[in-house]
Amino acid sequence: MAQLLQQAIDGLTIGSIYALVALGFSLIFQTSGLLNFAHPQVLMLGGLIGYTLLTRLNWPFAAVLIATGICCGAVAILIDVALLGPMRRRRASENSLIVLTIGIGIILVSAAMLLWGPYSLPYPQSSPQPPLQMAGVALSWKSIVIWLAVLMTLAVFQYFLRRTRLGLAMRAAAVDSEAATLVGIPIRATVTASFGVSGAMAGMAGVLIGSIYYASFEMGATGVKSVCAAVIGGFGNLPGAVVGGLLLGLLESFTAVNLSAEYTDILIYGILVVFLLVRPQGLFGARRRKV
Amino acid sequence: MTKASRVSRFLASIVLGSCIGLSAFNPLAAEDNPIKIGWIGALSGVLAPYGLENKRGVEFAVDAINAAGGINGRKLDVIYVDSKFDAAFAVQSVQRFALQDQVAAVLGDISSALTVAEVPVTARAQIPQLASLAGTPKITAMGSKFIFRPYPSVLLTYGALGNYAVEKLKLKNFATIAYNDEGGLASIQAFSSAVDKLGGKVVASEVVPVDTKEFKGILAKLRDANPDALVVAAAAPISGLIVKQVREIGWNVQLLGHGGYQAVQEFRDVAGPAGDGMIIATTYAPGYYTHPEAVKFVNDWKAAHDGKAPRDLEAHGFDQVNMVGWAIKKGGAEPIKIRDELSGLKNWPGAAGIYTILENGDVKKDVVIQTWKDGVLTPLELFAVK
Repeated sequence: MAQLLQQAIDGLTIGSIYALVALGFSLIFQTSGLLNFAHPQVLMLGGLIGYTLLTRLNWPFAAVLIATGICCGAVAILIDVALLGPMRRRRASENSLIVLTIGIGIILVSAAMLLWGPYSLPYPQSSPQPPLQMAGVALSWKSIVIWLAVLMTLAVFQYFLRRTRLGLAMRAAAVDSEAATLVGIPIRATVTASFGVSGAMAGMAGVLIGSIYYASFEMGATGVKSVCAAVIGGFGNLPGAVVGGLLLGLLESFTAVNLSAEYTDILIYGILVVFLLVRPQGLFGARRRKV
Repeated sequence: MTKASRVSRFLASIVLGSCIGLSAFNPLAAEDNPIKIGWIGALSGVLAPYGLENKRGVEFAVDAINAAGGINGRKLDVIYVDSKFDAAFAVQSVQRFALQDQVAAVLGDISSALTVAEVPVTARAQIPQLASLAGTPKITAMGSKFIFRPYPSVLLTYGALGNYAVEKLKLKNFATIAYNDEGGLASIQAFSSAVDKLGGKVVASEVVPVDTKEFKGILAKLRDANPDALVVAAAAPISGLIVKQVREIGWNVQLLGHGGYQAVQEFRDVAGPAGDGMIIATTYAPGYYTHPEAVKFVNDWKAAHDGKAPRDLEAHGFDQVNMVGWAIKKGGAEPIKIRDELSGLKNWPGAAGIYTILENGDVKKDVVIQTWKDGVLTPLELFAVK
């Protein structure tokens, strides 16, 4: 029993990382209809920028978190304005835009490797807190922190989309951009804002993940699994992205321990295929009807 | 044939003739030309720290040899190629070494997978290849007579670790946790067969997915088997996380490891104090060998690097070049002759120990047992490999 609980904690912690990235994918998708493959690399950039601010400039953690959020928000906005914007103006197809985001992601990884080197960079640990021990189960603080981060990101995104003017504009733009333009919603600005918000949150998530494990140019590699999480949860559905991420984490953890590590990827991507065939709208997504 | 085409044919034959003539009588063509050597390894990507380390050692040896007038009067010219961790590109590059550059020997690769891809090329071209770090037993089991691995394979290091754990540490039951890749799996296999022979037993074994970062559930399962020690076989940062989490679940088990994975600063940086006390079978410890060649290397290296001690792959890179140099000095710069000499290399004193090349091209040399003490890698003893 203790072993199963431990596996569940592991799964929820890893799943939370998938969820954090999946949330960003979903937010951008919900507002712009674009699958932004550069998004996980903005998280990676956040982890590395955070490392530099902490180790070179010795900034306090909270300041690092905020500054990295601003930097990564700016990078994401730059990606939208300078690279995706001109393509959109030329009415490039959705496929071209997706390929462009893959390219941008690769450029970000290569640039990070040049700037920070190919090393794993652990954050300085001021005073490592011993994990909570209960009946043979260890619950580390890092797991609690990352779970809280997922809930907070979800809450921020939900509030932003449902309660703020800009958020409502984003949703309107996503549903029907032409109608939104007709009623005076500045589409371009709202899409750019969604890039900024998701970039900022990804950057902060990167700092958090870096502080728990380590930062490295490979941090964005979880991106593909996060897309799976978003698809399983229902692409564009924010709570769905979280549920999808946690499910994948749990599945990975239980499979690795009780079956074999070799089967985890087969199972995860197998489930993705099943979902795409049987329930393409995911767990929580609404089925899109052709008009 | 028109007049113009006759003239152009005449001119072409003159140019062609002069080229052939020049190459035949070029005073630099034969003995005075530098001896070309191809180096291939990762200079970018995840394996770049290892590739760069090896390259530094190679450069140091080449500079020293060339400064002393070269080998048999000929200087060494090393062509460095980044394998980019791309098997197709690596194979193409080694082909270019053989066909275009006409190298006397190939140094590298440092990745197991890429070396496995390159071995058939050097075998076909009949050029000796000296791999480094690439640890899988497969490399020297492919039947090539041209592959040498002066860097101890995982069979040697994990085998020695098994021997040391049973004979010296008097441990009996072991649990293993390995990366789900070729190196990780081969390491555990080598360890298991070594302890089996001595009456020890691997009582629990787990492989972990290469991209996970949470291992506590797997570790709790291993703990239930109640082993005397846990063997960790995964790349440095992942090993660091595993070891950290062993202590986080309150498991005070003896940890065992291998130089390539855990005798690197990256491991200790990630593991923190949890890495202290781990027993690690390593292939090199600067200043731990007393034969003159090793002592001179450490002194020369420190003098050239602001007192900084050489690292494992730097010492082995240095030895790779000098081994080829030794073979050329004895038998000449023909690839076949170099291969013949290397095949008979026995008790050769290098910077990283006393080498003997085995029949399959692998090396036999002692391992240095080390441990992390307050964040400093500390040698414990030299352990003879059986």
